[in-house]
Amino acid sequence: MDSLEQQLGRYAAMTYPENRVRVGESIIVSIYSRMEVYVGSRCPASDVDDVVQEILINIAMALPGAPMVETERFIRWCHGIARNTVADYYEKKGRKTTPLLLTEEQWEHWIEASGVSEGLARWEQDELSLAMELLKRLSDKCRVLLWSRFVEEKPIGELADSMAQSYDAVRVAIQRCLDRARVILEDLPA
Amino acid sequence: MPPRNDKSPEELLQRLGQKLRQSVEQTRPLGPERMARIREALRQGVEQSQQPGASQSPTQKAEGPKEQKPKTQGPSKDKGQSHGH
Repeated sequence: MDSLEQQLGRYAAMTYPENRVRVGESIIVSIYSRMEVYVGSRCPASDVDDVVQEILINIAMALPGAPMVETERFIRWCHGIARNTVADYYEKKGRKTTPLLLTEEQWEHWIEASGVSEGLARWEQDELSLAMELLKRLSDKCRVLLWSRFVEEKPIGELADSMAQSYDAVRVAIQRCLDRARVILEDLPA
Repeated sequence: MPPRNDKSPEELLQRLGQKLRQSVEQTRPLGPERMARIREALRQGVEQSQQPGASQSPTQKAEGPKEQKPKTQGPSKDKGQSHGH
């Protein structure tokens, strides 16, 4: 399969509608797992399928106007749609939730339910357990920051925009959280 | 086999993200029914973009600051329906 960057380039170059739809499908398939991780770690498990589907449909509808020039910008655009779709979803339900906050019960439950630990080698399972333990021991603020930056691979600029903070403030906050994370890792039993 | 604690937090979390995405792709692929709805939305988006004077869809404003959150007229809970744009 082509890389996402190649798919974006092909989509942008196409004018015939059916071809665009076909390449659009492969783009959606390529970003699906990112959106699932985004939603699965924030929303109750019972809502995940519905919310992800709404996000994918909103992305599909808006795809002709998406920034196709570079993968990072495109993913950032997708995250923007995901963020707004999650907020709209709960607004429509009239439910007061904090769907953008990574609560322990949400992320931990989702990781366990994701099947990620199946079929891993022993050392990979150890690595997964270590990552889980690290996340548990971090403060809420650091967990959200490090999860967004490294698990979801969001660029610092995107985080700064979504948090309405300066780039440097977010960079420094991430660095401090990483310092704490290193101390936590050193204290964990080998 | 790498020793248990020799990974940096960045590496550990990046690998967790990679594993989670792989796991989703392998164990929860988009089924034909969901893909059919997505295909319909793709088609609708393309058609709308080719209409003369097509304007920016509400969801395309998603890059903007959070305060400008668009009221998406996205699909209703019944995802089988077409989308009311």
